[in-house]
Amino acid sequence: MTPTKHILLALVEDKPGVLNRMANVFRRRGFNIHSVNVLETIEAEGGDRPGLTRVAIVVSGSAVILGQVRKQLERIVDVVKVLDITTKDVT
Amino acid sequence: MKLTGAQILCESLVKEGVEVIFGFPGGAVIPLYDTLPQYPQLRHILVRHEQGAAHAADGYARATGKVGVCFATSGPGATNLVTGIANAFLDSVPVIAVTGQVHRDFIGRDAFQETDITGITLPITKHNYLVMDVNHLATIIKETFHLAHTGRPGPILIDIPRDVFLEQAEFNYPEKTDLPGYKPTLQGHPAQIKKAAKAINEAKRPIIIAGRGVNVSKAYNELKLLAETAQIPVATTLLGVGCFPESHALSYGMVGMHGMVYANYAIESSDVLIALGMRFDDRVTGKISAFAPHAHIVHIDIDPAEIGKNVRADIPIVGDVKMVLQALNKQIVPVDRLEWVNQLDDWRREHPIDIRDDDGLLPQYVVRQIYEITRGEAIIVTGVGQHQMWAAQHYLFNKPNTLISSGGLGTMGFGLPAAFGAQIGCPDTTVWCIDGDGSFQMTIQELATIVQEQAPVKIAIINNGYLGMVRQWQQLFYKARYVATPISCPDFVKIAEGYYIPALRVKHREEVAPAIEQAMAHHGPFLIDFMVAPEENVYPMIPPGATVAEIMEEPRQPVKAISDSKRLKVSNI
Repeated sequence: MTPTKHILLALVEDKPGVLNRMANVFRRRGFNIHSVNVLETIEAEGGDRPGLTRVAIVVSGSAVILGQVRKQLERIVDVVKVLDITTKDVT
Repeated sequence: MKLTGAQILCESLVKEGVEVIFGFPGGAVIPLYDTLPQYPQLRHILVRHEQGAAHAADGYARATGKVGVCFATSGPGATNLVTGIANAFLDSVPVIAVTGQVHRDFIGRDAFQETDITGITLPITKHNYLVMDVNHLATIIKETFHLAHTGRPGPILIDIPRDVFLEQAEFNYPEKTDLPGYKPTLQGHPAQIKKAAKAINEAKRPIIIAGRGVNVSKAYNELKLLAETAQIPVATTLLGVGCFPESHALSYGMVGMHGMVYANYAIESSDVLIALGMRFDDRVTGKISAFAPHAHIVHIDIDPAEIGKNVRADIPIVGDVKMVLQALNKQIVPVDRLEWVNQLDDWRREHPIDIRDDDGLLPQYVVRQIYEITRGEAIIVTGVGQHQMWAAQHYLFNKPNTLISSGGLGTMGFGLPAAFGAQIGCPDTTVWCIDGDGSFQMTIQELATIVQEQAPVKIAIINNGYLGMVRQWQQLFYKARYVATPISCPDFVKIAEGYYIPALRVKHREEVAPAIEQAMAHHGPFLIDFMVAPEENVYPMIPPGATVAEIMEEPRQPVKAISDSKRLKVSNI
């Protein structure tokens, strides 16, 4: 299967080490991350709950394995949701 | 009322129903240990090495279904836990490890006994925490327990700096957790369940492979109902052994590399394969591309990341095995699959898992005798290697969680501390540690723990003078070049005596049963050193990466009698 570029958008809790946990999944599955963008935090309402942060990651790989990686990312407790927002060829 | 961090931890453990902690103190956790006497309901058990603490917590958790807890200090204490944590992770066991950390001001500055244990354990924990504020401690502990035993269970590590143990905060134990990123799916998708029911109802040659998930979700009755209603043969993974009674007519034993020939044939021929709470480990599948080539695969697992990871799933169902089966069973039509079941029974007759008649002392015979004398009522805990496979093959497991074994990580040295943990959790059950002479030497120091706590663990060392499983591979695939596998042993009987444990050495077949009976009659721990045939192999065997067609079965020629001259002895090195 030919690798294609994908954009994953993750909604994560704004806590120390989240990026490390996510990067670890890509490392274990042998992916090179092309770029990472951490977007502004959405503050939580009230209390001292951490806010939520969006992380956009561009990687290339086969769609099947990336589907697997997406689920492995969602397994991280601090990761709320991961979407593959690739709509067309992003190369 | 304000409590110290150490008190908050202890209060929270009490609230979570923790009764036992396996641990080893050190500088960073002295404040925690100093607090323990205020909580007599928490029984702390001093191990001899932190790896033993993690394995004991693991064995305790598997035997009881409760969360196992272990403590260690910072630095080497924490790193010594790592193997045990990885073991619990691979086998989805709820273990909570609490480690001390250096003072907050020193973190990241290579302080004495500082190690980045949350970094180290990141890929081998379900989740981990470094507690930098005592006000967060109670919430974190609440989350830790919730995470450890719900969904797919797993180990969690909490790293607590020394000064956080000493700092004070108001203690309010939260009622519930708020984890937006953690919501395990329990109920299976109805449309998927319907599809699965249709596939099963239409199947001609269905087979179930039951894994540890059946044990975790306690889906024993649901599994039995499914198997009996639809007359589906049941095989298990190593960690699923016992979740379906092995004496049941529809039980076909363990699958995989050292699984039963007939179970592997059944998978090979099946048209619908129902995988319950298992993850298609390579020791189960062999060559993936040739695995269950004709089967429509229904994969039921609580972890979405397991679906399609190793094997394609035609009908994936994410959910709790018990809940999914409850829904599925309502749509299952009773049928008679005589032809298919008869086929399996024919295979079973043609390829039985029996023990050959031999004058020598066969390891399989020892396991069988332990089964006979314990009447199958014992909890069997193993190390890793040949003895582990013989234990799984030749003891008939009729009850769930009675085989406790390191499956995913394959950790030599797991046996003794895990057996101890299981015995602490189940004081009224007979616990046998069936170990290898190699495995046993890896955590032999826990004999002292067993004696100190007066845990009546019975130990059977299957002593063949080799790192037997590796030797077997060398024999079969490396032209019998036995590199680094002959292993000398201390005199285990004298070692046991040194630890005040009565012990026997058994060299002959006729001594086996009396020795086991003597061990059973003894009130406390007991050790038997079984000097078994040195070059006995584990069969059946599917070579790594091979297919069912390549199963190697036991050669039907008599094996040489035990040759003690072959053993490596300290005196002749």
